[in-house]
Amino acid sequence: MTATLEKKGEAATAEPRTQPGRREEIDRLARLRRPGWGTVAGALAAVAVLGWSSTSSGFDGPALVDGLPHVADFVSRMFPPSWEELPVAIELMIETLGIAITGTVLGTLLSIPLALLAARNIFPQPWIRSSARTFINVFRAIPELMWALMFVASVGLGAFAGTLAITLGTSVGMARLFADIFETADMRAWDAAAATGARKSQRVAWVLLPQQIPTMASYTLLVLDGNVRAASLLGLVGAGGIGMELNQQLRLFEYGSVMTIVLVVLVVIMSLDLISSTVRKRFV
Amino acid sequence: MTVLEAADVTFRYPDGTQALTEVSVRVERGEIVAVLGPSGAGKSTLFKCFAGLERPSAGAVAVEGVELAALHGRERRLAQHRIGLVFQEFHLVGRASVLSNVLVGRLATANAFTSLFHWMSRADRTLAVELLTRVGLGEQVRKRADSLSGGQRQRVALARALSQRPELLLADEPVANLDPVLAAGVIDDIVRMVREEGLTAVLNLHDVSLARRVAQRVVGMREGRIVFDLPVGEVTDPVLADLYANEELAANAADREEVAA
Ligand SMILES: Nc1ncnc2c1ncn2[C@@H]1O[C@H](COP(=O)(O)OP(=O)(O)OP(=O)(O)O)[C@@H](O)[C@H]1O
Ligand SMILES: [Mg+2]
Repeated sequence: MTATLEKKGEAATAEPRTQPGRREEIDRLARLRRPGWGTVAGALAAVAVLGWSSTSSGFDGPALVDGLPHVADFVSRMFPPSWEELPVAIELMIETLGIAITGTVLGTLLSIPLALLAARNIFPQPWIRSSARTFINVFRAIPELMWALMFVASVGLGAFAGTLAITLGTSVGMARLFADIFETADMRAWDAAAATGARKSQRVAWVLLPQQIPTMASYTLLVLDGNVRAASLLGLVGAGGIGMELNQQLRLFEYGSVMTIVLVVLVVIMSLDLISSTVRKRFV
Repeated sequence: MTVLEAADVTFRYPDGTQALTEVSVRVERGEIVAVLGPSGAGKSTLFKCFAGLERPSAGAVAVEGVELAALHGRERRLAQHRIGLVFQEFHLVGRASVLSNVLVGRLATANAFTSLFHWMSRADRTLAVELLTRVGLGEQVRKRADSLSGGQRQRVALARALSQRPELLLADEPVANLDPVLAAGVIDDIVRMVREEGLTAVLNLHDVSLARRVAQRVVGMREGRIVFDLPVGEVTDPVLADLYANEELAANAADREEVAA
């Protein structure tokens, strides 16, 4: 009450009378609104980075325009889709799903201990948390396709290499997510369980996980979605799944088959999206 | 025999607030003691020191002759297991079942490995269900804890504490979150179970009439010190008026501040 009254009074006296001292003050404040040297330099730098990145990305406007008829031609040759390709595409899509689901499940299981180590409220010792976080961040920086290349080199071509790559990528990615979920958990029941004399491992199994599993499951479904996409590409480096077949049909200029493969991937990913969003709504 | 003994306990929070100053109390086996006092008197802090959740800055707390603050690891866990705690806000796992919340009280003595998969012995499960039946929740065993009413939740928390088979039950404002009628029912249940189990209990309460109704002894606290420690019959209105003196003034001042803001 009093506060608003005061403000009103101030505004009423300030507007009509502009004393000389106040005039200067207003000018000074107005100058503050002009961009400073730092801002100008920052804007120039941003423009420079954009220019450099567009040249190094090979972006070429005229080429895009010239290429448009070819793109149209390419798309038209994808019709009609080849039905002979369908059984192969379906079989490989099943393999792709297998890689994605196995990798997601194994990766999620592995991520839980890692996430616990990285959560401050579970392991308060700073050295444990920071080593776990460093480990997670280093491994997260490497893309799944690179892991796939390395696993192909070590365990050979095929779905196993792909599964390992997805497992590893998922475990570090999820560990980061889960650690953040754990750190924001309500710890009252945890503390009460500690006061009964329960071990930390028992508190994880009886208090922390039961409280957090719906959120964790919802994130897992989200990640499964991404992993199916990733697994569809793993074939490009020989790590199993539908990507290998796609690559081959492209090289053989069998655009009808390419279309079939793309359609199968599209249908599977869209249905998965639908299923997972329905299930996630039930969780939360 | 003395179950709980606090000797010259002083407690300072890290920010420098001195919440307890040379508090000494002794609770004998089978006693039910209520702790009363205005807000900020240090009741919750004393509860935490008794329970071993906080370590006194000076002085010592011993439960059955054992100083919890001096113990570590397994010994500490087993000593904590002998003290059952009930909190104002229940501190249950909302998504877990009522039964599973009570079984948490059995974890300390359960098999360390199989208990991780929620496999508990028949004896543990029987005890948990029996306690739940005795606090009137026999029908609710399989329900989720967060589907219960406040009074029912506090009974689950009570069953969890009792499932530890403790010597001592400590409760910090166990019914402050409940409406008066429910509160009396829950307090009566707590006291009935404490008597049936032959336990010793210290209850922090904010309601004078509840304290008079259930306790044999009342400890009055104010500004971190014990003002009186009397059998319930000697806790007269003037004694209580003294304990809460100026609190009304303070409350009025707070009201006025609120109006001003
Ligand atoms: N975590 C904390 N850090 C610093 N000071 C605290 C902390 N908790 C409590 N205090 C202070 O310690 C004093 C005693 O608080 P305590 O919670 O023990 O009082 P109480 O008697 O339980 O009060 P209430 O009836 O409101 O629960 C108060 O002055 C309070 O502000
Ligand atoms: Mg309190």
